[in-house]
Amino acid sequence: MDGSGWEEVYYILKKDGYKVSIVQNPTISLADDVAVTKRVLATHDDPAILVGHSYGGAVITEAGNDPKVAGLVYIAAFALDNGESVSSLIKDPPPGAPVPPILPPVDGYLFLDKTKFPSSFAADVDAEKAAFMADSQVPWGAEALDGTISHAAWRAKPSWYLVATEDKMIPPPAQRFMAERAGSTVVEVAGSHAIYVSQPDAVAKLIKTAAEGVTEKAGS
Amino acid sequence: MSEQEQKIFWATHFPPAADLFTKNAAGTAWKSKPSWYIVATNDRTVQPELQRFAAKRMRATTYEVDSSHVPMLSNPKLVIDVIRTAANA
Repeated sequence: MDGSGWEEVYYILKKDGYKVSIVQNPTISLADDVAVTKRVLATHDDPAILVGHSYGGAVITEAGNDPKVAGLVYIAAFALDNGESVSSLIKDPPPGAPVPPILPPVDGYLFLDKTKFPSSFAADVDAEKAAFMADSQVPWGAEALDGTISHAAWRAKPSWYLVATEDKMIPPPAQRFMAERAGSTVVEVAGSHAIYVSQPDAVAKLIKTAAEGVTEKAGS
Repeated sequence: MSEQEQKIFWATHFPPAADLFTKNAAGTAWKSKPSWYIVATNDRTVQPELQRFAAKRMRATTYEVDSSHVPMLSNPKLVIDVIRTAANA
């Protein structure tokens, strides 16, 4: 997914006075996406909260080592640990867990099956928008999927995690496991994997909690 | 575009890679295929004169619209009409 789905979250946070940038991950390789994120961080003068959804969780886990990053927010995301990649984590799905409709790679790039996209990714998003999201997918590079974490930023920095309890892409138990392992402050919200689109208020609320949390810490 | 739309556009835009502007296109599809062109007459990113030159050179069916660089946001109806015209040609 590209950054356009963050529009509503963006409006809420801007209204509350935050400076917000949306990183457009090329999703060709993890190293690339980390570099792109750091380039955006360099445009911010103040400490920043990094927010990652899905694969974006891998990106913020690595890019979060940047000294400007004060905290991490995971939204139904891969909060990986050192040496892990998204592919290493999803290769053995627990029995009975819904399997994401990832099509076989073409030229090293992955897409989600468009016909299954709405029900798997965005069951609580209106049908027209879900179709747009399916048809505007950014190809997902094998090197992004296989990119391993060198040093998980959540080991040193505070994190928050929103578990989407009706997620059919990343099973909620896997989300809870990663959140607990990262020592995140966890909230659970009923919603699909596309919860940042369907429930921007809940997502923005957690980001604000994180921003206030790190500010209090810095002040004490 | 409204001020709010301009802000979201600014926040989400991709920085182009530096070599985007210095590399020559490898193949030129308009030399062998039909083309349509929307010239945005208030464009401050790509000069309208340069757009007219490119459109004329490729013998595109050309439309002019009073728009900034993003006519697909400011004048979506025209853009849809032109794409439909192209698809039906």
